[in-house]
Amino acid sequence: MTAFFMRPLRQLAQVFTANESPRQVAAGFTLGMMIGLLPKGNLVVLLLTLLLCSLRVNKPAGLLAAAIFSMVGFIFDPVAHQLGAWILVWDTARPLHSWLYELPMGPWLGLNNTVVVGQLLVGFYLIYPTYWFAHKFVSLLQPRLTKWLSRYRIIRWLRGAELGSHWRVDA
Amino acid sequence: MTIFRLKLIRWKYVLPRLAIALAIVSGFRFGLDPLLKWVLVAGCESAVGAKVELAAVETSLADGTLELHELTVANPNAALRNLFEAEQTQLQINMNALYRHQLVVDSGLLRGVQLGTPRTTSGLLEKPSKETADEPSLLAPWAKSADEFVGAWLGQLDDRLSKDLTAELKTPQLAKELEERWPQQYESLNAQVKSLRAQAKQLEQGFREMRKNPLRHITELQSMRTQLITAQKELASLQQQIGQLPLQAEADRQTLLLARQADEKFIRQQLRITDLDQDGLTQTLLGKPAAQGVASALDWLAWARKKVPSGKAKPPAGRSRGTNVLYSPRQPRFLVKQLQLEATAEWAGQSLVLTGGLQNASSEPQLLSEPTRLEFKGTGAAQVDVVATLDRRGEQDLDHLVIVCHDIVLPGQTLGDVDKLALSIGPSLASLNIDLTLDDTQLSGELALGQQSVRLKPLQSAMRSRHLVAAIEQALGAIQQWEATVEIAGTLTKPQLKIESDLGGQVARGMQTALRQLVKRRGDELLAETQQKVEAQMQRLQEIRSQAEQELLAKLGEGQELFGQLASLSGDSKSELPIPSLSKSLRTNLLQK
Repeated sequence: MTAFFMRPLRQLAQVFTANESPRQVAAGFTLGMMIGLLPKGNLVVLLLTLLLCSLRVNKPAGLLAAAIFSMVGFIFDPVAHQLGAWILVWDTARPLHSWLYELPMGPWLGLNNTVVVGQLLVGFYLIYPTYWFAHKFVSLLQPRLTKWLSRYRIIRWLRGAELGSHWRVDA
Repeated sequence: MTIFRLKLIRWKYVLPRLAIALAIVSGFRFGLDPLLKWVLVAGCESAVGAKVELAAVETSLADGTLELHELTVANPNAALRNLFEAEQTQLQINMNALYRHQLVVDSGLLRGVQLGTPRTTSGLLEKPSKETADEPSLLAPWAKSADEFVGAWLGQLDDRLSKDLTAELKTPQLAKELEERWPQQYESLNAQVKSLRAQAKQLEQGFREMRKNPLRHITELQSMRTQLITAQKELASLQQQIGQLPLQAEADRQTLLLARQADEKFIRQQLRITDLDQDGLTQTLLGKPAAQGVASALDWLAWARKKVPSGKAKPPAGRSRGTNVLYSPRQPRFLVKQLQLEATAEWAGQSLVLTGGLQNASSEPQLLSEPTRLEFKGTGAAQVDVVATLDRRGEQDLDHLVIVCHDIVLPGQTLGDVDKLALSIGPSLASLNIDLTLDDTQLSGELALGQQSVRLKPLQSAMRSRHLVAAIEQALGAIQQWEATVEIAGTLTKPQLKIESDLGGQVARGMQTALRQLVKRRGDELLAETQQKVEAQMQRLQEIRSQAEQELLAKLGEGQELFGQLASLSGDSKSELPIPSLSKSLRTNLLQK
């Protein structure tokens, strides 16, 4: 029971304590960025969230990114709306959009919404930069932070709890 | 398996959740039918306000079909009656639309529908809805007032014809008065005759006494002479009175003639028939069937107004972020594209087979290109065609209802007060065409009603005025068919009807002619009967008078002779008789008796 409640804190600590590779953290962060930018309440966000939970990426980093980019996303909304509108009314892409819309679950995808499409495009555009920066950032900071944080008892305790959790021993 | 070797996926996370999702899907599939049954029953009960029973629900998500077996919807206004029963209901659901939160019935069939069937248990819910209140029809006061109008007219007529007017006639009263007055007059004349005779005897006696010693009674002679002159004058007056008796009979006859004329006037006034308002009569005769037809149509429209949503409904709120681009026209949340109906119903005690369908019934009619249309055809005992168009697409709601019925059997009805005089209209065949438009709140339209094989006859339960009943029966016997047009205006809550028909005119003219003849005959009979009685009375009186005249004159004859002799003895009134002459006169044989 304690492990269940401690898991978020443990996972937060993992972001900085090199239990997972920088690639996993960067991938999680990138997925979280996509989730955060997109308006909620559509299947695309649900699929991205499922991916975040199902893939071996750093979930806390993803959740952190989702929280950050949810707030940042509103800033991009006007641009995203313009971009999405341009794409959605683009005659060349119209058959594709119509096909997507007419799919049984088409409207649930939310791909007929200007902001969803715009933010998705912004997200796609930001995938590589986000991943690259996140990877670099984690690669640089993770060893130093690990050393610095390990001085604190609480972090040691959380890491111990993580090990205990691995070995099925509750802290 | 290769996929399980992949390190990329957290199988520990994915597999339990996949298992849970599969369990949920399986549970949903097997629990869908009972869940739908519960939802449908609860939803229908809430919408109808009465119990809804459903035997089973079968769904096929692959085909998108929904089958309801033995659906029974109770009538919220009648505890032991169903609104309808449907053996089988098949609905073809558009699954693609269902993914978009839209319930679209592409086609449907309601088979084995029976309307208004009885039920063994009460179909009312514990908490009655407001709609279950038994409110009278909006047109009920209109039909009632019309009925009361003719009832009052017929009742008044019956009262007048049944009333005994003989007691109020002047002629019999006058004849009776004259008959009663004569004995007094006779007694008076007879008394005067007797008095004169006594006076004559007294004078004769006086003169006898005077004969014995004329000189001694010389002073009384003057007085007796004066008495004799007075008596002679009275005699003359009495003779004149008796002589005038035939003239008095003539005067009485004249008085009786005047009284008879007054009686004729009185009878005409009493039996005068006010003109029957033809429009009022039309309203009375046709008010109920017309009001029933219009009320049914208005009930339909009112129900449709209440149940079919208005096109003014606001569109659902969109996303707060961005704009949704629609690549196909927006569809309503609920839509029945086509629903076929096969039903049987009881109407006026006869079975009617109804076939038809409902098209474009929707929760958001403003999104459709066609209005909602309900169309069905009834065959069997009567031919019925109903087309209802409910257009909610514009700014104003527009409903149009057309009902065409042939060979409807209308039940009989009674007009007027059965305790006095009432008209009975027997069951008859009728045709009914209703064309009704409700534009926002404004009602307009026309109802054409035609009736064949009409049998109108007065009710004889009261048996007060048999002549009246016979006259009305004769007048109404010729009317067998008629047509009427009802103009409908006003609003749904305050409809106004105006009936135009020749029926009221036919009935009113027939009844008035027959009744005027009856009344004239009745008045003539009354007068003739009275005249006959009076003439008999006057004949009897005349005979009595003649007899009395003879008798009185005979009695007066003796006195007159005596007075004459006494007068001749007493001499001329102007010159006095000398004593010797008087003595000589008194010694004559006249006074020796």
